[in-house]
Amino acid sequence: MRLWKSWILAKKDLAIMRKRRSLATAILAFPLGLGIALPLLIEYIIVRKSATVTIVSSLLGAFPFFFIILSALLPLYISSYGIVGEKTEKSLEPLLATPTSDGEILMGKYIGSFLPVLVSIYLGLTIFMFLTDLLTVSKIGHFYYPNLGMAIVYLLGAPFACIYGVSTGLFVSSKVNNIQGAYQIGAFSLIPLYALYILGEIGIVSLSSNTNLLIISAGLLVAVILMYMLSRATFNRESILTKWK
Amino acid sequence: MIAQEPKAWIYDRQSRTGETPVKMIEVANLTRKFGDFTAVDSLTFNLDRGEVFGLLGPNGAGKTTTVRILCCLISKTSGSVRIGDLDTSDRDDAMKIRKMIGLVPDNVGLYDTLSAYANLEFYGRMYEFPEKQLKENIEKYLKMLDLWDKKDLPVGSFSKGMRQKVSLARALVHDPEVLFMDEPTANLDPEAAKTIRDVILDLRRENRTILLNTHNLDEAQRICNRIGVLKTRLIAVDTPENLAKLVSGRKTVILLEEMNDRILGAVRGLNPRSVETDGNKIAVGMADPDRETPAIITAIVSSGGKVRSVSETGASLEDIYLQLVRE
Repeated sequence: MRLWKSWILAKKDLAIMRKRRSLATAILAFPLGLGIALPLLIEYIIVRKSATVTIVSSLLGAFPFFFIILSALLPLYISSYGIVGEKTEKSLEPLLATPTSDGEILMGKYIGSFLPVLVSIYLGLTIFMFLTDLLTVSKIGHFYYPNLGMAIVYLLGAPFACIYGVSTGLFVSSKVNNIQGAYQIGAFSLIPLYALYILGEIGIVSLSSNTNLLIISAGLLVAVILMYMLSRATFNRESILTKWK
Repeated sequence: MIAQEPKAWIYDRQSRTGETPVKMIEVANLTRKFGDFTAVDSLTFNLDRGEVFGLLGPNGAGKTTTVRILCCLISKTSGSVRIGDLDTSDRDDAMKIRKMIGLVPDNVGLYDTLSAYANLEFYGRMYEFPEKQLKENIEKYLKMLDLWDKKDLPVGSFSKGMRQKVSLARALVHDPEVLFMDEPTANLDPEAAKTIRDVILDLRRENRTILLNTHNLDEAQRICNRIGVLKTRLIAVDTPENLAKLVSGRKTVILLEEMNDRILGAVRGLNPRSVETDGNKIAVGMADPDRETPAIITAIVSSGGKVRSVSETGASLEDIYLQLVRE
């Protein structure tokens, strides 16, 4: 596989993303919004509800999980656009006619969806850590972040969730003809993550436990491998031109 | 980031100067089935370098499927297809073939948010064309198609004709030896269609090999060296002139001073394919007018007829096409 070829395709997708304001805004707004809203929520709980250090620490441990969910949700939207957009613009046929392998095209789509989302998620996480530390240091007595849990989210959870979202989006978009449909169907694939969050909220699973975060990351990695294999099997020019909707 | 060894491209340039006919496209017994449905059945034809071959046929005749197989986009069920000396069913060859061909699909398929220049630049890079020549070619083709002034505008703001021109430029930007065009002038205004036809004629002069799918019979007649009539199977392949001889469309029209039953009986007595009258005009359909017309004239004169003028009408490509497709 020639990665430079995939990079040309990814650069094209990134250029289109920059031109489509709604897409670029969505990628930036959600992580940045979350990075600002969550610390403000914590501050509200501390000031208005006079929460104890234990409650604040528990919340701080669980909040990064939001970013894992968002890491899977956002690329779903972009990668759905990446393929459905090519389909609606009828540009898949001329693209497939170039001397580029199916794997190179698929990898280009992965990179084009993965990179902007991960950068945006990292920005959101950084703002979240900075603001949270600023607002909670007087209550807790020390800077809560960075810590090992956040490192797991940064290095494993968020990237794996992101690739999982990309794979799902690419796979689903081969079956539908509109971006909304691809996004809505793809969102179902995130049910396990929503379930985990609910289990965390009702105290069955601790989302602030580093071990659990590692297990979740490992689970995402397995899901990524399975989804990549599925996408790879689906994404070949023969079926794109003869079987895709 | 650009490939160091664009082999297929070098091959194209070296071979373009050859004078003896070289087979550029060889299709033998090509069949493609989708389940029980046969889209293309036992197709056989060859194209020499520099030839423009028109593929005519009704909707669903298998034209687009044929082009897709030739462009290595979809596989064949059976038969063989070679482009240059490369086999489309071989994976490595298919990659080289894609490098040496250009495709104008029936849908333009451009990136609407990107400019015309950015669209061409992207595709040129995907075709692994050397960067410096790519820039020269983008300028050359955008100027040739009167789009240079609009090169930085998003393609989404272009008219249909302008978008089709960009699509043509995209197919040419990597200097391909073989071009596949799927209805390049469909639904265009006469001026845009003419520009595209002129470019195709220029390409023909440059000795490029072109396979043109079209519904426009007049266009096929004007541009193509040979025409194939396709209806799942290839019904006929020949030059436009020779195709005219395949059907009973040639007529000798004789204008007489006066028409009467005696003259008509004399003409019918020679058993021509058809006899039609219109006032003092008599149109006689015949298989070989060069041989049969003198006998017809002799019969008319012997019957007391006075001939004012004699002319011949050939069957139009439309007549030929309709007759072949209906048969």
